[in-house]
Amino acid sequence: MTTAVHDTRAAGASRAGAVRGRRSRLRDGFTRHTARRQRWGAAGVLYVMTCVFLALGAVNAQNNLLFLAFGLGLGGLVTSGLVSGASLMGLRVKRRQPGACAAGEPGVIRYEVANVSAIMPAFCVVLEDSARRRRKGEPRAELAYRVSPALVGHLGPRTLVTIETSWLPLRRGWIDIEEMTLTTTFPFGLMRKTVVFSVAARVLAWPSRVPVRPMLIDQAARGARQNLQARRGAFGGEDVFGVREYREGDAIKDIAWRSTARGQAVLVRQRAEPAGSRLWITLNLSPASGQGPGESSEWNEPELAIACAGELARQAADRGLSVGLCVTHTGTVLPPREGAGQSRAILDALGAFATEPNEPRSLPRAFRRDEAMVEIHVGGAAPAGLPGSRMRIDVRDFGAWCADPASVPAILRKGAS
Amino acid sequence: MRGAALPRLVLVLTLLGALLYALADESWGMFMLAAPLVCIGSAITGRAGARSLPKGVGLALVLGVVAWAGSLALEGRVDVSAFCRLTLVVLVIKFFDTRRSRDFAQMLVLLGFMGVAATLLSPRLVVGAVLALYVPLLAWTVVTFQFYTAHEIVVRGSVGPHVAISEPPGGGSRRSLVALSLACLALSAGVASAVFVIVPRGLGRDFFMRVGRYQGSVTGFSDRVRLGEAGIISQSSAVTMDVELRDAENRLIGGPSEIFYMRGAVLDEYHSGEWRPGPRERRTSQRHPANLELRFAGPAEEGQVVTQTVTLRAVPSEDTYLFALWRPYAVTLTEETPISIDSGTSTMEVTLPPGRFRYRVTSEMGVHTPRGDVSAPRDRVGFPSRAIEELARTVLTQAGIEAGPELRPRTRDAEAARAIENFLRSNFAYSLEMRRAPANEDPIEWFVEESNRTGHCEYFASAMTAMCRSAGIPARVVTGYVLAEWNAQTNTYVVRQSHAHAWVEAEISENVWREYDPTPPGDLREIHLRRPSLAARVGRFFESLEYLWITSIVSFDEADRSRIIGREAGPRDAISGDALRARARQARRVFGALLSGVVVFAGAYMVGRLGLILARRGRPARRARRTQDWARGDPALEALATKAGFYDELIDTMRARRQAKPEWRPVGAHAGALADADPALGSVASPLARMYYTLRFGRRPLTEREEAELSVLLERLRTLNRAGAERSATGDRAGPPTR
Repeated sequence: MTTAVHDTRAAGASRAGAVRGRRSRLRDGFTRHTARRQRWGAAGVLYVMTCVFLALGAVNAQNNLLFLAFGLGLGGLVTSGLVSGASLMGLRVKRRQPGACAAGEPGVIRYEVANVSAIMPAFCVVLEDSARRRRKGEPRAELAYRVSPALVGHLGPRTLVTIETSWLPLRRGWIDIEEMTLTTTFPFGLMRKTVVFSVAARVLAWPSRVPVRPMLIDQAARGARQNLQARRGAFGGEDVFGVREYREGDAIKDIAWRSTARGQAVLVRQRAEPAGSRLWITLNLSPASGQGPGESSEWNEPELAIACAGELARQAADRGLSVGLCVTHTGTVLPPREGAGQSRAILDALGAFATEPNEPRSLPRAFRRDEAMVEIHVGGAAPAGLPGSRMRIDVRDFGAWCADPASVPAILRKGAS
Repeated sequence: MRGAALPRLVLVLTLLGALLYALADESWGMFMLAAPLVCIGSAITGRAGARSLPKGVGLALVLGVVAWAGSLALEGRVDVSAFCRLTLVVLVIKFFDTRRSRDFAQMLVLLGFMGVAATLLSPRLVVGAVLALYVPLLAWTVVTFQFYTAHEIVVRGSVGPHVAISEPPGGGSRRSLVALSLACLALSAGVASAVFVIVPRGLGRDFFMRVGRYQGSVTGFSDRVRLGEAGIISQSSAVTMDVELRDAENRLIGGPSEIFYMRGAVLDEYHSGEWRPGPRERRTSQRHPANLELRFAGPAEEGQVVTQTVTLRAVPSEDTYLFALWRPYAVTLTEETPISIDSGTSTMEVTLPPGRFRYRVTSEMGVHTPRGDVSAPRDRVGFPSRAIEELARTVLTQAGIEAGPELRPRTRDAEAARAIENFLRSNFAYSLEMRRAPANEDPIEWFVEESNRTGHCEYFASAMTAMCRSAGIPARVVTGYVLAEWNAQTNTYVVRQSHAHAWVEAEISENVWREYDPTPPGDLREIHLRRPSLAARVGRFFESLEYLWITSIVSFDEADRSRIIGREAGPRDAISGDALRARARQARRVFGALLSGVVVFAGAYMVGRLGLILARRGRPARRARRTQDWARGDPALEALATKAGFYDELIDTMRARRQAKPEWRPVGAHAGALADADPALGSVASPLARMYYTLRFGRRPLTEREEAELSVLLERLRTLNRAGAERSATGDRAGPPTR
């Protein structure tokens, strides 16, 4: 758990220049608040009631100390209002565009908070990124994301601070982040004052990470190699380039027995994939034609399938395979390519498309026979045009693809947002 | 800046609050009891991971306090002091209770009420001085509490590995916060001063009820003289009042070498060794408005006019005398008060709540011309004692004055009284020794004949009065105070309890009364003047401060207010009259009903909460319910879920070791991630997570071997939990535990 904060003071060459530089730097790109809210808390109500009772008591008893106490109470009220209001008015906010991350996995989001006030420092300001308040008549939007609140303990006059905090997308897809707020109860907690900033941003949340068995990729890659051998008629390169720790699903024949005997952990040989191994990940979201395995009923199956496809794409890219994506019911096709860029492209595509039921479309092109294919489906019939050498994964059958069902994120359950 | 100092601040504030109550109520029992308990409670529950009182027990104790308050209310004994005691008891209980932000908030509220209650209990300077420390400390603690709660919000609301808290390096932020706090304090003090001055005084007194009156005090003064008993004889140096004297040109009068007599009660009836006030036939009573001069005798023509501003620091009881130099003829009260004036004796009595009071009275000194129409006929004057009469006759004869009133012209009465005064001064000695006359003897006779001619002022005054009356001179005993101690810092006379005195007034011609003091003057000065020691100087300095405190704050009145804002003070009969008081009775009933409603509601709420907690305790534990959520509805899973209780222990241990599992991360993944952050915990957590999955997702019971492994792992887990709690207690003082 870390606190990642950088506190910087804008500076300039000369004194006058410094002031100009600070001002311009503190205003450039920063957003001014669009609304203000204030709410009396229980402490505030109690405080006001106590002040009223003090006043009544002072008048009733003609007790000068009570008059003084009432005056102090009133002074505290005035001071609280002035300080909390003035400190928030000088604050400006800039939100840096957060990078994409998987739904259910925390990502990093950065803010810059500047205090443009010349004299008034800000204390104890809580920064919260929240969905815009629902307007009257608007349908209730499901909660798409959560952001860790951040605390700005102190922000001096003409100072800015960069804050790095976590955000958690709660679903896949485009997420519109509209509002963020700065709230303070400083100094006495009588009133909760908030300023609202409209700093719109659109972030793509990739599919959730799910524990897919690594052997699926191995099997698929093996199929691709066999296809390639069959086409080339010769043994493809399977050079061993290293060993790694055994993972569930690794073939026993790959275990490096000598290395294992020397050490404590079970090690397996890692082989370089033959050049030209191409893997298609096909996502078939056609509705189930029959009753599948019972245990999948609590899951949001299309989302589970998308998550599974995304994870396979990640693993394939990590293994150095050329991986492509084909989504049958939207006709989305990304031809196989290698590299992290391709992995991101696939995750972007998987993150962005909608899962509304759709008629299966005809596939745009015929697949080559030397290409391997993993078809992920939710019980629907296999679309026409796919080559025969393919692996079909029914996401409802966890045993077939999931290494650890308990690790599947809860947000993929039905009803979870 | 994370509010880590909050528990310590609350502890200090509670101790200060207890001290404040002890000083204000002048009872140290609760302080002696509460202070160690609070420290012990803080030491026990202040540690991270420490156990607090079970919720039900804490609530039951608070309920007990409410019941105690209820019983006091039924007996009609609920007052500010009782409120303070109850608050202190609740605070002590809270120190043994949980230490969440809500608990701190409740404690701060109670501490705020303690401060308010202390102002109702005592107007003393020492209380004000502690309050001057208490209020800023309370404000600072509240500010710290804001940081504490904000930190807690951020930690609790965290959804990922980052807890983002901006804390700039160096102590700049603390300096900035201190500067801002001082500015806030100055602003608050400014507003408070403005409110203090602007709010009109005198309106609405006792509109609701009489609450929070200051305690009465023993002042040394008494309107009864019982010879041989303590009476007005007091050796206490407690200050009773301060007196400022000014002449007709508003110049200060007095000094260290001048002595004045402030008369209070006139005692003119004697019976069996006791002097008491006689029937007051010329007495009139009225409710006198504030700041309006009331003249009850003719204006001064011949004598020196002296205006006395008297600040009573401790009014002894509701009906008290107003003290004045002889002969008072006008008085101005600073509050609307019932006043009774007897024009025959020129005594004034008022009805006041105990506490402080200020008034101005004007007297004319050295007057020889009679101003009243009352004279005591000579034929009715006498004293039923043969021995006293003989002594008076002897004294006067020796002085060459006719002893018999029928032989002596009225113009020689003053001479005769002076001769008697001189006789007592020169032939008797002053002593504070309390000697009682034998039961069958008159104390005055015993004093002049058998007491070795020693006694205190009451004996001297009694003897002179008796001798004057025997000689046909009307005389009376007067009790009051001697103004002998001059305070050069405040230019006032300081009057202490020990300055209480008794002397004599004799009618030297028709309706002309003159003061005589038969007590030897050397002894009087010796007794009433303080020794110029270092302690006395320090004490006098403190008394000067207290005088300033009382005159400028505690006794601030409409006249002071008018002087500051430049407006003449005047009476407000129309507003503050009986009509307002009649309306107050109705409002009082409504207020009482509301108060009763609040008490009943609070009691019902507490009973309900306790019932709810007890009902919850009857159900299966929350922990078991949480475990069984995933198994509900499936008998096979429910059987397995009963074996998965170790999951909660694992989660608790993770939390205790500051490795809390985020909601979004499965336990297996989190256990794997602990390998780097906390290897010891990770080595236990991973196999436990696997066993949990075996039960939950594998849907099979643990094998015997796994059961054995589980018991070993649980032992290790509990050891880690204890170690984690201790580590948190000793090492981590940075803030509240991470949840």
